[in-house]
Amino acid sequence: MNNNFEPKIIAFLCNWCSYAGADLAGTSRLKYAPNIRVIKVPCTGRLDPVMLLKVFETGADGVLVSGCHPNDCHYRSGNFLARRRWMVFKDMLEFVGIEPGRIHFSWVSAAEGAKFVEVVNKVTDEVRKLGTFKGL
Amino acid sequence: MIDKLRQRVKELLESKAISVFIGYEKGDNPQLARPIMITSPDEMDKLIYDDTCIVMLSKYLLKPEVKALGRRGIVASYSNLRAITGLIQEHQITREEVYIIAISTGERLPEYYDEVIDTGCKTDNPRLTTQDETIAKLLKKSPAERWDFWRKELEKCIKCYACRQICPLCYCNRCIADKNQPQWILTSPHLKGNFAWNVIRAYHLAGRCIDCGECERACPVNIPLMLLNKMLYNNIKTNFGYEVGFNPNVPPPLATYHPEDKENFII
Ligand code: SF4
Ligand code: SF4
Repeated sequence: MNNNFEPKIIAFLCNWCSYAGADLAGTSRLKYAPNIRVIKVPCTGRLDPVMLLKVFETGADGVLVSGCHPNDCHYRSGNFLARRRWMVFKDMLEFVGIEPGRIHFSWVSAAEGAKFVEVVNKVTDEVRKLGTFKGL
Repeated sequence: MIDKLRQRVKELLESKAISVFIGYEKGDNPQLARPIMITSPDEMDKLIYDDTCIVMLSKYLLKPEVKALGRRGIVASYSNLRAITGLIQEHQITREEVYIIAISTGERLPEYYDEVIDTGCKTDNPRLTTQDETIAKLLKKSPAERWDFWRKELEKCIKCYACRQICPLCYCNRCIADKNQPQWILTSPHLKGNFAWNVIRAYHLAGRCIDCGECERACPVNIPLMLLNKMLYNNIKTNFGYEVGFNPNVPPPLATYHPEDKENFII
């Protein structure tokens, strides 16, 4: 593998918490790995699993989904419903052979700019270790 | 047993308790009986029930042209009963609009039937419930080896959608595979779209698949679809202690949540 490999990671951030957390990281001038491409979604509950497949189909190496902490969802239960879906879906992706290290979920609130940095760096490291996704 | 079934169906039609009965008749293929809709008491001798009655009937309950006939009667094996229970749970039919004659095969039957006939016939739909070993074996392999396995299998898919058409719980009038604005699932029989299709088809049935094995039987290129279905079936059972098709009064597991659901995989 090429040592200069930099992964492309698609990050789905919810409008109300994680996107604001990313914003806070920015306005606080915090530095994080430049590997994520952010897509803002209204709520993690809005994410259809097919979107996570599209990520890999269109050439990304990893995916991060981030939303509000439990009980903080703007729509009350979107993140609870999403949590169940991921629980099952990530096991399924693992079963068909996508390394678990390519699929990540996190809770980041609007006040957690520093946590956002941590999450992005951790996810980028893991995906970088796995190398480029050559499956599709 | 067949006399008893014919007798009961005849009575039901004559008394107008039902206006159509969904059952089986002899097909061109000696190994596969054909579904039949019986509307007249004179057609009784067409009705059969034996080991060739494999095709799931429950889907006909949903067809608008069959629905329009009024109250439907149906003969239901174990798998059909579970499918019907699932359809009631998902508000596709009501319990009152169907009259169910269950066929006992010695399994624990869901409680949703009007009468039961013991056939002595021990085979239900050819449910392929022996995947667990293969699943465990696959899980012991590396992700790359598993990918390789599925790539080879899924490359064969010709996008005929037989797996969808035959599935008793796949009833959407507009399937995600048919939507093209945007095109979520690529239509060409290429690994990209095949991967998305097969993963999403199985996933949309997570917690809903009754394990009847019909999709795999229908697949013309023999993709082991039941491995995906059964993996999800087991996953739902472990995570939520839930099995579909026995109780229509609980919400499907992926349409609900519990505040204390496990989240050890979330950063
Ligand atoms: S086994 Fe296949 S056909 Fe039967 S319910 Fe499950 S997905 Fe549908
Ligand atoms: S039945 Fe088999 S070949 Fe046809 S769409 Fe389904 S998986 Fe593909």
